[in-house]
Amino acid sequence: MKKYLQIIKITFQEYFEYRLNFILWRFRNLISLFVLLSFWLALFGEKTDFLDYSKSQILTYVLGISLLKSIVIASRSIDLGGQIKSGYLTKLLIQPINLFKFWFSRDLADKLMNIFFMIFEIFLVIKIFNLNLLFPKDPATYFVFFILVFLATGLYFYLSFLLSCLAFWTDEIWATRFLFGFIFLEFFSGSLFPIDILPGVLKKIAFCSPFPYLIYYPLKFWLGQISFKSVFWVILMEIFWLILFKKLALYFWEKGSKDYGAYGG
Amino acid sequence: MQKPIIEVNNLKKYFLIHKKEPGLVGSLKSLFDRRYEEIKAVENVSFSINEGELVGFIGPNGAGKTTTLKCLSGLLYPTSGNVSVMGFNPRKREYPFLKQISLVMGQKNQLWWDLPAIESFILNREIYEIPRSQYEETLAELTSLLEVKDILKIQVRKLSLGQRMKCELIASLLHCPKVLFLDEPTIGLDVVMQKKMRDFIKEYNRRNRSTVILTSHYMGDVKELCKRVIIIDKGRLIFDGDLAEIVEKYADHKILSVVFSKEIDPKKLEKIGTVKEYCYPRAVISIKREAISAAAAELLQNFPVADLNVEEISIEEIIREVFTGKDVA
Amino acid sequence: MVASRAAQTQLLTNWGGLLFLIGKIVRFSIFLVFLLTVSGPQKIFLGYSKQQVIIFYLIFNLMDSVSQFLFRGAYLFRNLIVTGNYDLDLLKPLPSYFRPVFGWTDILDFLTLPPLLFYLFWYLEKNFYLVSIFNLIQFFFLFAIGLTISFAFHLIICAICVLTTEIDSLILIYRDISSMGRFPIDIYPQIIQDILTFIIPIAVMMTIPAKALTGLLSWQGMIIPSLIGVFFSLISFRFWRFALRKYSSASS
Repeated sequence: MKKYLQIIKITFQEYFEYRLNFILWRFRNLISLFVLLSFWLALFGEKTDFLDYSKSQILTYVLGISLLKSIVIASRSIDLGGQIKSGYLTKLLIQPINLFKFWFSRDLADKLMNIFFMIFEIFLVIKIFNLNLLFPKDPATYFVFFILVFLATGLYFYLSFLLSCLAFWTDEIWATRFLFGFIFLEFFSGSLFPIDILPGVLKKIAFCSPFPYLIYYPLKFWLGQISFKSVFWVILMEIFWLILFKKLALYFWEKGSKDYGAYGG
Repeated sequence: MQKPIIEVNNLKKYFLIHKKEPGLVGSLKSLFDRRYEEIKAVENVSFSINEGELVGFIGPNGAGKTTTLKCLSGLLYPTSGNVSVMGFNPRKREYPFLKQISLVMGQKNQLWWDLPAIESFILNREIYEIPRSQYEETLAELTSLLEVKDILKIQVRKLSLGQRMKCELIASLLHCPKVLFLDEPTIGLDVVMQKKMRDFIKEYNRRNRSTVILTSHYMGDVKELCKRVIIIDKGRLIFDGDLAEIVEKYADHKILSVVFSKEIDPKKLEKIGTVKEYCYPRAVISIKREAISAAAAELLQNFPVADLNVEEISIEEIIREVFTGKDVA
Repeated sequence: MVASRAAQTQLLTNWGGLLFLIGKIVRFSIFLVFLLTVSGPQKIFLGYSKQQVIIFYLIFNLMDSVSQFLFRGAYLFRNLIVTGNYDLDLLKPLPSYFRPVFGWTDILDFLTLPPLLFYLFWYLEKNFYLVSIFNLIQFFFLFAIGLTISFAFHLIICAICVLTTEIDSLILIYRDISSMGRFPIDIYPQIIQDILTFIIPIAVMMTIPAKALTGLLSWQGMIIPSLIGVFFSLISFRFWRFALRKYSSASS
């Protein structure tokens, strides 16, 4: 276990080398949070209800996006694709280290870093906009929410790992990453707006994908819009996706790394 | 007799390489109709290496040296054949196996680019689970051997290539690997650094009795370091034995270089041996080993010789001849 | 995360291009659907008519695509500096800002332009009957000003790149800020509006041309945007020359 702790430590150290970049990265997040909030505030205007959401529900949802993005989505395993291409992976394969654990440690460092900054940002935004947020009253909600987020983190990890593994076969890792890891993720996970406001077909497509489990479902549950009874099914489905993507990631990893570095250097 | 530490039997490694025609049309075509070509990177190679040996792998680019190394270290799965290193099957990538080997690639960087080298060392200490006292001891020894004490706290990307290679070596040796694979360890280094690197490798092999396999383009590396060489060309093993043996086997002639004091008819020289070069006043003649003294005598008698020198053919020359298809059965 | 994003700005081949194209189209369409959905049956929406909001969105996309098509080079410029290859460009008989800004045109964005323009004109035709010639001239003039400002932004970012090679995400921050122009900037608090008009004139790039097109801008309204455009580009050239002087004195 100690080796993975050391990896977390070394990842932190890297961030300190690139302080400026990291701060700019958080600044970007702050801007997108700001844009979303302004948009919704303008949309609501004087109204209190809109598209079946109350004002404070939507605002809670938007801030929740920020929170879950830094817990669930923040990661480094995205670099794996580039490392496969550059041949850097050789170094890791020759060492007595589990690559899944290695990348999860890196991700963990990234998540901790992002959560730390995000807390300040959320406080800042709440102060600036003078927001009224919703907090569930039942302590059990927090517990279930935690489970949902925990599973979502695992799901995203394997999903992202899988996308990176494609680099073993194709040169187009950034294109696939762009389409599945950014565009579809952004819209279908609900990290721009709650998916259920979309019209019929799009909504159906979104719900057939694993993306809503990352952000949408946990936040819906937080808002009290999913009952304890139906959240059971959500958790079940989430576990199904998690296992599926874990198996896929493992399978493609085994297959890809088996003959890694075949070409040239 | 001691059991070999590395055994390779009939190793084969084939790759499928996807061929693409140039240009946009070619790209479109390759979308629907992918053509693959089978590359026989390694074809039926067998050898065994004993503990403590320092073996050089030589061969031109693309001969299959690196592929063989990668099969030995478990990075590649052989198409067929058996590989055994310290009794392990490398492709299983078992931790006890990985903890006893190391691979250094001159063209690749394994240190953490943005951090000082010492951080990479500490990480390796944890990864290889090296006891702290052993780590301190090894590190102290290696840093003083390689004279890098004062650069360990500088960001790796700010180091020079030579300094970086030294740190790479340290990172790979901290866990005292029993088997060390070095792939082009001196590539890109200047002559002084190359020399230092070689001295270090030699010294390390002598002190720790670890087995070292080294590939290189530079004959200098091999000449100085390795008693035994394995020559691979186009995936096939064409020579395995003592370096001195090659010289005996292939160097059946010597080189006679002559400086004349007067211009002579080069045609007359042909009778003595194969004239490789004639540019007054110098001539280079290749002569069969056994005929050398007779030839020298004749030259001195019948030609206006100012200076005469008998030389062995250089290793480079021999290897070049081996590769350019001189019959080697 | 930050560093890896820079790597995305690589050259692409056929498959990758197709996927990127799909991604861009999906992003455009879903946002459009989203705007149509949230506007629902209401007439007034974000302080404008629904049609106007759509026009704002379309103009934002148009400006974004044209800028990316023309100035894509800025995304790759850091690499050029870090590897030292930019020195070779300085030797060529071209303006020093040519390679940094125009060095790489994004063919994908070019492909998205015709359908986008077609949709824009169709939408205008359908919803605003005829755009008057005056409004059209106004629009083209202001769009040109907008492009100038966009060029200036890219040049400034390249200049910062020359001064500090550490930063690789600046261009992405610019993109994030410019994405605020997706909606009419009047929805933001007054102070943000002022910043977006005078300091980081996204509004002049996106919102004001759209206003012209929908007939919301008088001819007097063109004066200040033009001044901002001229002023901004002058500053960017100044800054670029300053950065370049620093660069050449440092690298020799």
